[in-house]
Amino acid sequence: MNETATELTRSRTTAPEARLRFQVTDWMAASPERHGRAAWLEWAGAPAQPAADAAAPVPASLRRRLRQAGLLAAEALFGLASLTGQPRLVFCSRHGEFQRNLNLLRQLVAEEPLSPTDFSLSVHNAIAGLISIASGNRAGHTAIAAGRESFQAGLLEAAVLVKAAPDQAVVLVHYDEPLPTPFEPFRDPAETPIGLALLLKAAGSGPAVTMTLEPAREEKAGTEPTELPSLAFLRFLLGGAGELSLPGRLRTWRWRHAA
Amino acid sequence: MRELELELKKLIVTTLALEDIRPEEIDSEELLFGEGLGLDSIDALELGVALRQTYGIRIESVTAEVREHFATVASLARFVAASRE
Repeated sequence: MNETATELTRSRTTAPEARLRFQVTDWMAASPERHGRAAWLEWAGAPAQPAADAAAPVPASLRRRLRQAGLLAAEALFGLASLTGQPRLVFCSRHGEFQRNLNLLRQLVAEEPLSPTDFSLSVHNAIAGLISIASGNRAGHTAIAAGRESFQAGLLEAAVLVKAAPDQAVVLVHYDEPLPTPFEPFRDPAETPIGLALLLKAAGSGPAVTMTLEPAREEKAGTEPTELPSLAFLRFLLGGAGELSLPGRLRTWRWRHAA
Repeated sequence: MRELELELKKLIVTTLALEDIRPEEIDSEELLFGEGLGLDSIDALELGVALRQTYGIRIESVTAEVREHFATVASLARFVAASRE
């Protein structure tokens, strides 16, 4: 990074207004091993909670179009117990449904016709579009990819939306799957199939969180994460521990439980 | 023709990943698109590719005639049978 950019990051991130606050009023996660709230509370070592109302199942018409990562995204979103009205949607994923793109590449090499389904759903915001149609959501959506910091960037987008329009609920969906063979050299050890949905509001029940961006400390900048950032955040959220800080390439992301 | 119809029903279920429907449950006279089975335009394209790979039938453009062929499993079976002759 050059001097000017460093200065810009520093001056922006240390200003008091760089602190964002939101409440996580509902959450749901999904992985091949864990489904449902109880399994994730146990995973986080958090006390069990009374069972929530049964979540809406992912419609079959949607399920048949999705691959693993998209399915986990849909399971998490439809699993939110208090998903009502028209929340604004933010989707974030590092790789998206990469298996789909690999499928298309293989068909091109074999000179076979491309699958119209795979082709039409191969852009990064297709999964957001598909799920928003299936859930009847017309509030608009954003689809973000930001490398290893895709979840963090998605949460920043969601927190900014809450700040900009406090009356509008925002659902953040993070979903990913490990890069398939033959892309292992580019795969991080922490990569795992995941879908996480967080319902964010300016006020309401559930843990309140503040978020800040700080200049990256040289020695930790760009460190390969040992746990997927979205899972680290869920652990922080459920565990009630004081703070979570994740070093990024340009800045350190920090969240604290707020009163 | 019954055999070909069942073959097409299996092709539809497998190609379009209709996991909640068994091939035998599809009525040969049931509309495939919109009403009936509720398939959409992406399914039509996917089905077109499957017909090409399975029976070597190439559909170059979507005409009113093609729409009629794709209306039901029965009409699709007549179309496939005629194309193979």
